[in-house]
Amino acid sequence: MTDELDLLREANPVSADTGPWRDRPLNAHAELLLRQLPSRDRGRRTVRRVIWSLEAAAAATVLALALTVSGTPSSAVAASRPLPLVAHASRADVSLAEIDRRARTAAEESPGKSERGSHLQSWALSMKSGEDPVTLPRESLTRWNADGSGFTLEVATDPSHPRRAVIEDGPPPRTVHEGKVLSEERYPPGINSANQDYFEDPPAGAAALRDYLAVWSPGADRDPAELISAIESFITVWTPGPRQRADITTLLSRIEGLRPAGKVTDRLGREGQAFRFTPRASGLRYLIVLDPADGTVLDVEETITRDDPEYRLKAGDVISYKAWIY
Amino acid sequence: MSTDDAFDAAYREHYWAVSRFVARRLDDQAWEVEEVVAEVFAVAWRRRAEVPESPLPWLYGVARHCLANTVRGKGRYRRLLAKLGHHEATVGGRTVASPDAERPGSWVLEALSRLTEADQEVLRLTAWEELTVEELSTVLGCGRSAAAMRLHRARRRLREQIEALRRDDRVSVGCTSGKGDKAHSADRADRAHKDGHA
Repeated sequence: MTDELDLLREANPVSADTGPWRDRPLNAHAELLLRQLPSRDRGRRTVRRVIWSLEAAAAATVLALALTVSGTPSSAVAASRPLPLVAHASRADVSLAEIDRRARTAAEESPGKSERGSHLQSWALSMKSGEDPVTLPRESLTRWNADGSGFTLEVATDPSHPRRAVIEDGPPPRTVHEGKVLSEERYPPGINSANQDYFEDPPAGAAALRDYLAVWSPGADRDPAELISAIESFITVWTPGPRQRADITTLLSRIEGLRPAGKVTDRLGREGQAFRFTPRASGLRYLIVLDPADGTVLDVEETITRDDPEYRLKAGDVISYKAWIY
Repeated sequence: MSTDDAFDAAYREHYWAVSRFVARRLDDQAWEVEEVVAEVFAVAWRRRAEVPESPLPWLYGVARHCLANTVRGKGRYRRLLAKLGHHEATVGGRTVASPDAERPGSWVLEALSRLTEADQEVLRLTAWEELTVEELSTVLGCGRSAAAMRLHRARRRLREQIEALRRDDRVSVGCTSGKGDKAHSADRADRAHKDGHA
């Protein structure tokens, strides 16, 4: 049977051999454009900020991934695969509508601003060749100052106590327990590759926030799975203030198919209210854990819904999680 | 070779590849493609000190964001991307519902269009831009393992959609392949798809 990628190759709508975009020496238009480039540079600085911010889109999604998914050989330490969080439904469960209401009340009482930077523990199935697919969870702390200077610190958690925090936040932050520093970077003032993610300050209002997220994660305004993924990456870059927290719970509460799962005790020992979402045709399931008091996102866990022998995964296995530390 | 010379060389070598990348994601209006391509190279010129040794995946990454920037205000990008799956003009002017019919590309585009935009992009980059997983990770701005995982998942989902179309085709053997049949088969494929994930 023909491979699906081969089929797709046959359907390539723009050929390199024929048509207006075929391979050939530059035409007059392309030559002219090349000659004009330096002058274009001088005349177009005003759009630079927009361009910068958009270029950061991919990096935005993926600062988190870089921190969580990719490992280094030195970090490939034998570890056990994390077990999925277990939710217990009860009459004491708090509905998402009620959490949203509480988050709104909290935002009205104390409308603090979101802060750029985050602190979280994360894990994701590694797929690097030559590396154990199950590696240690990592803890990462990112902080930025108003002038663009800042730092990122990433530490592998203690193998004996994978749930114990290994970074103590503070001026300056320091590693504690048996955490092994994987990377530590300091950045001078200005825009750089590490701080251009979600470049602009997040807006207030659920609809505005959704549109903002969609700039970085196309599809977040129409696909619930993309929206959850965008929220996940956004709060890896920003620590939301009360207003954005409320906007996030509002956005979540509008997702059709996001079901209450019950109470969970997460990997950091915190109790939260969990909600499940299984995107159609994805083979994945999200578990989102919120603080019922104010809607703070505590955890996002991703499990698979079907066996995947190629990656030695069984239905229900965790393939990634993030637990934000506030 | 100076930075400027390296940039010139990259420009000359990849101008048409970047143009094709943009053309595949727009509706092939030449002036529109040229406008976006000009923006891609203007951004690349400003960042010429960062151009890597293998510049094409990096240029594709720049192009992705320029495309989003160019049309995001009007919401046109997403509409056009969504339209790619039914873009008959660029594939010969005819959409064929049957997987066993003479132009397999046409219905594969239909299967592709049923995936999320993120899945579609990973598959387009792999099949049409012919990127390796390493290069894919550069364009998507993620780690290699994440790119491999995204491609793996996207391929699986495309396979499922193709199978759904195949199943549908088996059921409708003997039917004509008019527009109504296509809509009918799409509905049935959707149902099969939903059943499979109920």
